[in-house]
Amino acid sequence: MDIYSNGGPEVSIRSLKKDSMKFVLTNTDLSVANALRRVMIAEVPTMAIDMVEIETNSTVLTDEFIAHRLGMIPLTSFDVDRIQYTRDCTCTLYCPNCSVELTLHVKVNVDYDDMNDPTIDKTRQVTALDLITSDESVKPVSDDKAHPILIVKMRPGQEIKLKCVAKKGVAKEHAKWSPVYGVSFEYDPYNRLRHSHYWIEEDEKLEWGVSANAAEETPVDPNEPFDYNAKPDKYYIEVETSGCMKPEEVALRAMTIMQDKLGGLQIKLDDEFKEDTQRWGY
Amino acid sequence: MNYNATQSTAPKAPAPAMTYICAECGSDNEIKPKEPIRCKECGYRIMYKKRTKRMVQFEAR
Repeated sequence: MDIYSNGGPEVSIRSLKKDSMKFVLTNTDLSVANALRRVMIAEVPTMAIDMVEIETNSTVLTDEFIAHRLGMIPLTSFDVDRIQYTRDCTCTLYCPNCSVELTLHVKVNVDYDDMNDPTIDKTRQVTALDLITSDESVKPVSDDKAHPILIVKMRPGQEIKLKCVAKKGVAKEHAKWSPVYGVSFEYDPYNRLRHSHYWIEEDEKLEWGVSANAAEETPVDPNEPFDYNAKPDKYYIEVETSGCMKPEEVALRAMTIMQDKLGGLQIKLDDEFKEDTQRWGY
Repeated sequence: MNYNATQSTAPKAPAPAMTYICAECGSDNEIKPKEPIRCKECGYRIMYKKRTKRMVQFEAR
């Protein structure tokens, strides 16, 4: 089947939840489907804490340890288009156009009445909910209020005071900016194209079952000859986000990013050809 | 930069006492330069320096 004969790539959504989505991509080349996967993982911009200014830290964790933990906290990023990359901003260090400030100040007071009572839990759990944001559209992801993201545990008498600067970025710079926790990608569940070579003990069929996606394809008849010209054209993709944005938003933004990249390439190539024509006359 | 010039022109300010924490009993000790390093409370000779009051900056990565 010619992939260009009937309207180009198609997407059909199989399931759509709050933080995950399953879809089937058809009528396109393996390289395009893989590019989409890679762009969803590494090139969709999000917000993440990138700089930490620590004023006081008497907790058991070191400054750099806490700074690293803060960087990993997913921040809601559906409004990320409004924010500029710091490197493109006109400011010298950072400003409200290219960053969001979050502050954390927790001091655990010593309660002398309870001090010697071992039955009272005196551990204060500092979580992402203790971070106070300067911009309500960018705040730690907190879907599960009962189990918020833990930053550090504190004892009476300890104090932590710091300021975080969250910036816009992409995961090809640091994985903390990735909007997804995982993207599953499958094609050809019956291994008709023989792209997979399974390691086996004795029997391939017994030891390697087919995936749930196989329900959409016809099993391989062992008597049919191997078609060495066949190409994959149906891709089963599942996106699971960190909660920073909706899964469909991640997929759509990834497609827009790919389009923009190809658009840029086309313009550059056109310019190149025009120059050649002027210079050499062909 | 000329380090010697800045050293000679600056008037010798009285050395400020620094506060250290005793490694044995945890009490604060004010110790001036050239003073023996010895805890006033318990006589222990190992001291910890206090954390800076200045802000410290880190990259969260």
